Amino acid sequence: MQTSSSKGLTDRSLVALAFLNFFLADARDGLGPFLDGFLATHGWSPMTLGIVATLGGVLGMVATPLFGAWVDASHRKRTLIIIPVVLVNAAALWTLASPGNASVFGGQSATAIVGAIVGPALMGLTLGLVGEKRFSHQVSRNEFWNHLGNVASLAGIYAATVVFGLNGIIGLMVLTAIAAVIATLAIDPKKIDHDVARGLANDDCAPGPSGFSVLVGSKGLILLAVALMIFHFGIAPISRLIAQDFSIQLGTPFRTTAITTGVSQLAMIGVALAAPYLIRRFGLASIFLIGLMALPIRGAIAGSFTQFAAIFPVQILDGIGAGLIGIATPVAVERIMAGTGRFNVGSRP
Amino acid sequence: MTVQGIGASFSNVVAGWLTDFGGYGLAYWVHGGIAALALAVFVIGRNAIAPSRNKDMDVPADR
Repeated sequence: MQTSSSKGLTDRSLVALAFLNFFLADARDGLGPFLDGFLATHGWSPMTLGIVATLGGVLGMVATPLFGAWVDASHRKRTLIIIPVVLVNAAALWTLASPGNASVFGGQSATAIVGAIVGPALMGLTLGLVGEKRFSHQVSRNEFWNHLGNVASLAGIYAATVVFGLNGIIGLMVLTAIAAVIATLAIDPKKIDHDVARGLANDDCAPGPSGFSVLVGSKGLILLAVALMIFHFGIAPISRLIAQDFSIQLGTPFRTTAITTGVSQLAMIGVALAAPYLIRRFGLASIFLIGLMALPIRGAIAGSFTQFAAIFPVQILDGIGAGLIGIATPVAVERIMAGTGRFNVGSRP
Repeated sequence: MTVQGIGASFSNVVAGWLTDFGGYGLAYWVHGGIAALALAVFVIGRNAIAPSRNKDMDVPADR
C-alpha cells in the first residue's frame, strides 16, 4: 500500500517527532529524578519527599484517564504538548529558585496533572501521523529516541553542573523546553489525522472495562497483576532513596542523580535491545524470573554497602529488573489473552 | 494498572517513613524484601502467568 508516497510525505514530521521524543525526555517532567536529591540536600526529610512523590503519583493517575478523553476530542494535539511543557518547566524553575512548601507541593501537583496530558497527546499525535498499521513500530522508535534523550540529558546535566553550577541546570532546562516546543511546531498539523488518532484512542479506552472482566476470569492475569503490584511497591521508592542518600553523602545532588539515573537508563536500554532475543532464546518465564530476582538482590546490595561505588551494581540491577519486566509484561498479557481465545487469528501453530 | 500505580505511589510514603525511622539501609532491605514476595508470587503461578511459547514468532519479536 502506497508506502513510498505516504512515507515521503510525512518524513519531515517524523523527524520532528523523533526530535520531540528526544527533548521531551528531559522537558516533560521538570526536575524529575533530580527533585529528591536537590531537596534532600536542602534538608527535606525522606518522609516529606515520600509524601511529595505519592501526591504526584496519585494526581497523575487520576488525571491520565481524564485527559485521555480530552486528547481524543481535541484537534490541537500540538498545543496539548506545548502548554504542559511550558508549565512543567516553569514549575521546575520556581522550585529551583525557592524550594519551599508552595513551590514544591504546588509545583509537583501541577507537574503531575499537566504532565498527564503529554503522554496521551504524544500517543494521539503519533497515531494520527503514522496510522494504525505502523503505530507499534513508531512507538518503539519513539521509545528509542526517548531513551537516547534521557541519557543525553543526564550527561548534559552532569556537564552543565560541573561547568556552570545551578545556572547550568537552569539554562539547560530552558533550552530543552524551547527545543521541545520547536520540534512540536515543526510537525505539520495537516499530517495529523485526528480521526485515526481517535480510532485507536477509543480502542485504547475499551481494554479498561473489558480488560477488567477478562481479568476477573483469568487466573494468569490476576496473578500477574498481584505480582506486578508487589513488584512496583517494592521498587518504586528505591531509586529516589538512593538519589537522596548519595546526594546528601556527596553534597552534589545534580551530579549524583545524573550518575545514578544514567547508569540504570543505560542498563535498561541494553536490556530493551536484548529482550526480544532473550525471550525467544530462554522463554518468557525465565525472563520474568531474572527480572524479578534482580530487585531483591539490588535491595540487599544497597542495604549492605554505603560506598558510592555500590550504586553501579545497584542501578544496573534496577535497569535489568525494570527493563525486563517492562518488556515481558505486555508479552505475557498478550499470551494469556491469546489463550482465552481473544486473538483467534493469531492462534495458528 | 491503576491498582499498580496506587501501590507504587503509596510505597513512597512507606519508604520515607522507614528511612526516617531506621535510615536508608532499612528501607533498601525492606523494599528489596517486598520485591522478593513478587518473585514468590510469580514462581507459584508461573504456568498461568507466562504460558510457554507456542507462538513466540507472532508476539515478542517486534516488541
